[in-house]
Amino acid sequence: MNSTSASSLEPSVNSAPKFAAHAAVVLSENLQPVVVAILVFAFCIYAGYRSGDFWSALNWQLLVQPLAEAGLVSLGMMFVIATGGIDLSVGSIIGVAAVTAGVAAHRNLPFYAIELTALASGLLCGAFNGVLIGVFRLSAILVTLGSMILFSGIALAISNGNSFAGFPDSVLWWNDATPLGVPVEFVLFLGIAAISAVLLRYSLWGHYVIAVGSNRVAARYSGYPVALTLFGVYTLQGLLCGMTGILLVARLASARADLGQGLMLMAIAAVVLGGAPIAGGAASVIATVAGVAAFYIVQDGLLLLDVPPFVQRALTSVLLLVAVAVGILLRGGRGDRQ
Amino acid sequence: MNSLGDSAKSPEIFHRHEAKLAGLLFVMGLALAVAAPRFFSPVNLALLARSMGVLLIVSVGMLNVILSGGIDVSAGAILAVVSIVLVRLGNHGLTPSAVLPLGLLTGAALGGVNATLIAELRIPPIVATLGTAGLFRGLLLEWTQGEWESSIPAWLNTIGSPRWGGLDASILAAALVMLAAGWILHRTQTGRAIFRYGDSPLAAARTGISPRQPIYFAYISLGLLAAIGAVFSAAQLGAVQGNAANGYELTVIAAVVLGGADILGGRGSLLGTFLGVLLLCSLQQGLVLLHVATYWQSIATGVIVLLGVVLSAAPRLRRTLLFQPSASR
Amino acid sequence: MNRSEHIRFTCLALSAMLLAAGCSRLPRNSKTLFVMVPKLVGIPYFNAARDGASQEASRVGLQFFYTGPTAADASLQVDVIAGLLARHPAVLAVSCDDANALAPVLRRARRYGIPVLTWDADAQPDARDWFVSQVEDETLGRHVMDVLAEQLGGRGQYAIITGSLTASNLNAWLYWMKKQQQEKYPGMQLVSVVPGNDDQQQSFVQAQSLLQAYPDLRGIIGNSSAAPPAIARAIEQAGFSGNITIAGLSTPNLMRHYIESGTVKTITLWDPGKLGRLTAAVAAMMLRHETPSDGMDVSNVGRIRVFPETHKIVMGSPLDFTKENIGQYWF
Repeated sequence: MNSTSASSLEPSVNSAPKFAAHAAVVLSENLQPVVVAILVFAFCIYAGYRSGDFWSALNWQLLVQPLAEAGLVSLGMMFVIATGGIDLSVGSIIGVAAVTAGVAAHRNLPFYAIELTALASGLLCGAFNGVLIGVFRLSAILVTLGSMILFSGIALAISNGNSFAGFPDSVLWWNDATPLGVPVEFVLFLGIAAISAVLLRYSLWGHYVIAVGSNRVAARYSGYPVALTLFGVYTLQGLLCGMTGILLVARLASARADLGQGLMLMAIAAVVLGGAPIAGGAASVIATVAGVAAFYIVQDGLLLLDVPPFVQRALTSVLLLVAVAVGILLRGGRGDRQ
Repeated sequence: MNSLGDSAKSPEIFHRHEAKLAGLLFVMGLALAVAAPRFFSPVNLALLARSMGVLLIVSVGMLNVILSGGIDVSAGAILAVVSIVLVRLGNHGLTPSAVLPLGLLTGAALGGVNATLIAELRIPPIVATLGTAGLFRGLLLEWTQGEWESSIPAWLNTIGSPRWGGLDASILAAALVMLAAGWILHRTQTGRAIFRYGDSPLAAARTGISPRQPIYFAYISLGLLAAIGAVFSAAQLGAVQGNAANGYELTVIAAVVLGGADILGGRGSLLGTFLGVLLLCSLQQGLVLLHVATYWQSIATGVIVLLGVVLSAAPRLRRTLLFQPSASR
Repeated sequence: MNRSEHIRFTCLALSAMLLAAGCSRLPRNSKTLFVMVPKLVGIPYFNAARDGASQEASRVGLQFFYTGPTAADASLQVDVIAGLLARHPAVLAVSCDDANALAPVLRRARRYGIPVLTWDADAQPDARDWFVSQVEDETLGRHVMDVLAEQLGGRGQYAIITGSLTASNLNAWLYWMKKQQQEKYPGMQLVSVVPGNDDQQQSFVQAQSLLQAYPDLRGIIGNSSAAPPAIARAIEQAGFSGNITIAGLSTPNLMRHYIESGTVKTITLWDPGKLGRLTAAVAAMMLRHETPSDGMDVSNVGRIRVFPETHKIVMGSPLDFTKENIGQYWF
């Protein structure tokens, strides 16, 4: 994907402050997450007024579970997009993770083995993408298009089209446990989000991620480990998909090859809704969380307001377009390609 | 930024990818001739040609979009909308001379929505078309309430019927579309503008090319071509459903990209697109003829797509592996 | 576009959004709210069931709400149902995309005191109060195979184009079709089972490919309403009309042209509208704390069979549509 600034082609000793400054500038000018938050808040008031059930504890307990699942994938997607890439294969990776967990459950392995299998297969799939994109420098959208098809075929082949059931209670724990009334899925998501935020802002790797996204050439000339950074980003995404696979398996008490199909578009939309430039170079955990939350809250509210399912879809698409348009407007109409 | 040049400046590279693709097709053809010789029977070849028609037409539109440096994931939704519009208007008794222009207009208008969002509001193409895909699809399904049209007007039926030894009008249309596109892309100012803009919007702006022209042309042409595709798709199938062509755009993108178009814009060819479509369609047919199980078909297709990606990046790869400096892409 | 145009566009879009959302009606009393969830919305078969259920619901004084996922995806369906739980409907009726995946959320509904029915496609038995099924899986599967075998004379190669490979009820019917063929018609040979994914275009392409891949093919079964019309179309276009037998499940409206032209002799289904009516009637019984009994006569439906041990209700027998009777059915 194109870099966002064409001018910094010369190598620079002081590149570190330049990249950080660039990211900071993009985000501080980026009021999009604020716009989204205001829109969603207004919607919540409206939905709460028209539907007595919107503000019930039950509603929110049920709402945050799929939110957490999509949220994990969106965090991974945030890192990927920050490097200027994209990952179309996340849905298929989740499918692979789910069915390998299913096979493990079928063999009556202990619960930690089942969960480790899911994480490992997700990691491997992500690493596959990472090698092709990071080391061989192939185009992210094309590699993940191919791996999406490949992984979904693998998931179908492993599961033979069937769904696995019979997961032990310790795996289902992820769905059933509610410490202090909050579903544990959501607690996990918040924890991972916090870790991601720390990684992004304070770790060297986080810095590399932003640098690679804002200007890959300059990053390379500055001696940053570009290949390793890219590899890491896609592998991390694979790991997060593995986690999402476990959560889905717990919530549905079963595993199928087509689990997680819709999450790819949802993750991309959430990251974009949060204001991250699609060409890379900036990322914000809070903005991504806001984006994911916006979609799920609005969808849930529309459902409770009796809006027909297809109109729901049309309306959430309009939300995306409006929020992005407003965000661009507030940035002064510059957009991503200059 | 672009040390590999664009299609006008470096014909050697331009020819090289298509040659590699042709080589891959040749190898596949050999394998099929040995393992499933029935692939080359006239009946099957006609079937293959028929299955390529719609994909080729829509792929030309997607090529325009990708050349301009963008992408469009709403192509399937546009196709579905137009096919419902065509059949409903036709079943209401309107004549083909009224229905067809209206259908094409609808496709162009939907493409125009994409173009406006991208050119005027500066929304990135993937985001804009993601949004319009959901919007178009949602509104369409709400309008049809999930009812399928299981009968189409007789005149539409004749368009899609096989004659001339198993071929139908979609192949003729695809050929005409490719000729027209070839002329526009290589012989008109609009076409050159697309290549220049896709290659580098900054450089294009400096040479006086406004982003409006290439963007509007690209997305409206895709909408129009998706509409033409809808005509033949409905004609071949004899029925339409609102949730048709779900995910179709990914197949189209895969075909164009396999054909050597650079996803970042500025490089690509019609010949390559044609070869990409041929590769995907013959792969699908071949796998079925070889009695390959469904799951393995997905795996094989994924592997071929990845192979195609590696092939198209080979010049860059070689440089990488030999530790030579390269441009930012 | 300048700033003021931007602002105007945004305000317009926002108000359109809120207006569209505000035009929805809300049920006034959720104590009589009967919620019906299909496998996916936007398919004529489920639309017919919805219409039947809606009729019966208003007849017995229930409020009717119909919603579902926009694709036959089990996790989407679970999300929809989870969202509905917050509404505390009086009765919930679901046609499950996956028997296992839906079980946890349905069990949850029962824990909240909401009676749960499954219709058309079952969940795990302990996740629902009653399963309203249209026909016994075994009866249906064996019958469709009989229809095919009769036209084939009990010998020859055949293939099956199903819906989604992971759909539990479709797989159950497949199982009984194959069993019937293995037990009664050993001269027939199954060459392939491929997915059509409830999409006519995909089923059409699959049918064409099958015709090419297996030149000795004599019959194709379409195991989900989208497949048979697409198969018939492929066969007509290839010129094999009359040489290749088509059997399977689909609605009269979708098959009318092909039955009248003779390409297809018999197509099987049941009346989804009746199934909808029966589901609504059973829902009303749940609210009145009545138990269905075997052989009871349900108005507008007929005599039903009830199996108290498995909590299963069977509406009737499969219905065959042929040239003679298709004029009476318009769904």
